[in-house]
Amino acid sequence: MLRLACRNLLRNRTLSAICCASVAGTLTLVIMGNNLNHGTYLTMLEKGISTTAGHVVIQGQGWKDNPDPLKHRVEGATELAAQVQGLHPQAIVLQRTFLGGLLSSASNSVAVAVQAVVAQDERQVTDLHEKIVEGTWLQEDDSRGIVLGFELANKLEVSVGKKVVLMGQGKEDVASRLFRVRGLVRTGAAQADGFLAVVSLAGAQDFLDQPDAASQVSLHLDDPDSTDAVLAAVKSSLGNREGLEILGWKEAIDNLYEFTEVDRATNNKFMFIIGIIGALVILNVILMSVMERMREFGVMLALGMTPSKLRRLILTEGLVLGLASAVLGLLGGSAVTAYLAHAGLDYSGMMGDTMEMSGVAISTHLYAAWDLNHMAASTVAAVLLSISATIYPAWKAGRLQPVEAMRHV
Amino acid sequence: MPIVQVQDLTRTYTQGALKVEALRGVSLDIEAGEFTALMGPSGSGKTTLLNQIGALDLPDSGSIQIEGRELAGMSKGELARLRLERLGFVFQAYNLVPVLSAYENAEFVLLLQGVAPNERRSRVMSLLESVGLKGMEDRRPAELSGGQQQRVAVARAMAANPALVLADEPTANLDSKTSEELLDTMQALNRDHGITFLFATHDPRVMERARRVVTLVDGKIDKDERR
Repeated sequence: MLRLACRNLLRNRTLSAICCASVAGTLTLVIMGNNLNHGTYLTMLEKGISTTAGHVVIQGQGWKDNPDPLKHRVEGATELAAQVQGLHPQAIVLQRTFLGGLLSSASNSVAVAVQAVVAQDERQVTDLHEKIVEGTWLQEDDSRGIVLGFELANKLEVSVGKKVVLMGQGKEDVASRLFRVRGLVRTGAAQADGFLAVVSLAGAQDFLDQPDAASQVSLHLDDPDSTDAVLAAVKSSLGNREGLEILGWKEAIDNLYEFTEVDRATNNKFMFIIGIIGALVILNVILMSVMERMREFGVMLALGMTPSKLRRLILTEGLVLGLASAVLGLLGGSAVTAYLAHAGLDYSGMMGDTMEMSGVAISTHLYAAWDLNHMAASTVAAVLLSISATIYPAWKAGRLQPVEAMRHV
Repeated sequence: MPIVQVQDLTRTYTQGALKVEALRGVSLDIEAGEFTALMGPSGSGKTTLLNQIGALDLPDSGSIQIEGRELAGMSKGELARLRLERLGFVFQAYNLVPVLSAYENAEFVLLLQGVAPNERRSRVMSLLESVGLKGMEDRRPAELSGGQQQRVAVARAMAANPALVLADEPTANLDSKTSEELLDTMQALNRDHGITFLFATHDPRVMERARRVVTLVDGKIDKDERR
């Protein structure tokens, strides 16, 4: 049966080759597209995790629903950071405070999002310090220094070395604090470049009059797959402390995570449609092949082949074609993925160095990442679609009357 | 008991608005071991009758029994099994599977029957030798002459040890010498193995050799002569 199916496929080599190339090419595109998307999603999530959260995040109870640093905070943040560092010595533990305020210069005022960080620790996780276009990153113990987004500095008409004043809600009353501009960053994200101000954690603690408090203590892991285990360990260790919410990254940056999942699901639907088009190509080829072999099928039926065996023969042709196409498509997709994972795809000529997706700025030089589960699923789907495409021709052949079929020319 | 019993068989084809009565109440018994020719002018119903007896087509009315088994009411699968195990076919246009070699064409029905590889090989080689195709086992139909292709078709028909071989104009596309050789082969198989042959033919060479000639005219049996 297999031998006959293979020979039938080789009978019209050009048609079989076109069919095989169509399906393999479609699968290659599907694998390439998905792996490029997968790489982009991973980059976005890594960026979101590193800049606004962590793989495991400890924050004041209620912070997620109402991010107000005066109401929801982690007290004794230094001691708590040391405690979780002890639980996981390989992790990088950060303390951060997020607050809003009005930043004023001599000539202008702008509402800003302030991120308060431990400057030296922050360098290990984010690349903000690499985006400095003027001046320097914050130095250790620089509680009066501030780094501004490039566009924000333009709006305030300040440059490196100039003074700005941050005003906002303090513990008891309106608070204000003088900062000196140490550096300007350009991230490529409009939100960050236009409204971000980075100060030291100590400066924010003074401003809010909350010594040793932080909005969040976060753990950044080398192996993101260990998140669940680390999360459980942290919860177990800190379970008896009141007033904390302890989250994994999927909960901490749920908006971004859901965006990637929805986008992934949408892309999968498009790819399924592409797969259906590939299946229609096979249906066309197998149907043509069946129509031109009507007489031969009539002979086979006359000789005693049962209709079910004839149907199996045609399904086997679909299976062989599908398997050959899937193997070629998998090899093609793997080769393109390997290239794109190494060299990437550079859109900087069209879009500049960075682009913003769901509030996260990522490089326009996109790299593919191996999504092995999706590759396996796409390959199996290609084979199944190929077999599905032969069901109708097989059914049609199985219904033939031998004498009618043998009259067919 | 006759190997074939046909009773009051009718078959009408519709070609557009035209109705063609191909068989009009044919009754015929064929005994085991016969070498019988169905003759008659074109359109007399020879091929239609052969197709009905071979379970390749369904009658409008009447009854056909092969070795006492009534064909009416059998499923497609049962009819296929009957053709596979009890009947052999030789067609005017040879009808070999073009992607299979001479050996594989002859082997085809044995594969369908599930015969063991060693036995398949010995039977097919022996048959190809008996029809004079030794050494041509690996040739595909396109690499064989018409006569050689028809010999492969005979070997294929004989491979499953059928009780009855139905041959529709088997010599129509062959030259005289090849026709004589092919008929010699079939006659030998009839004589030596007791296989029943039923021909639909115009060929006088077949009729010369036939021990019974049934003449059809306008879908009815006109004459039935035994020699």
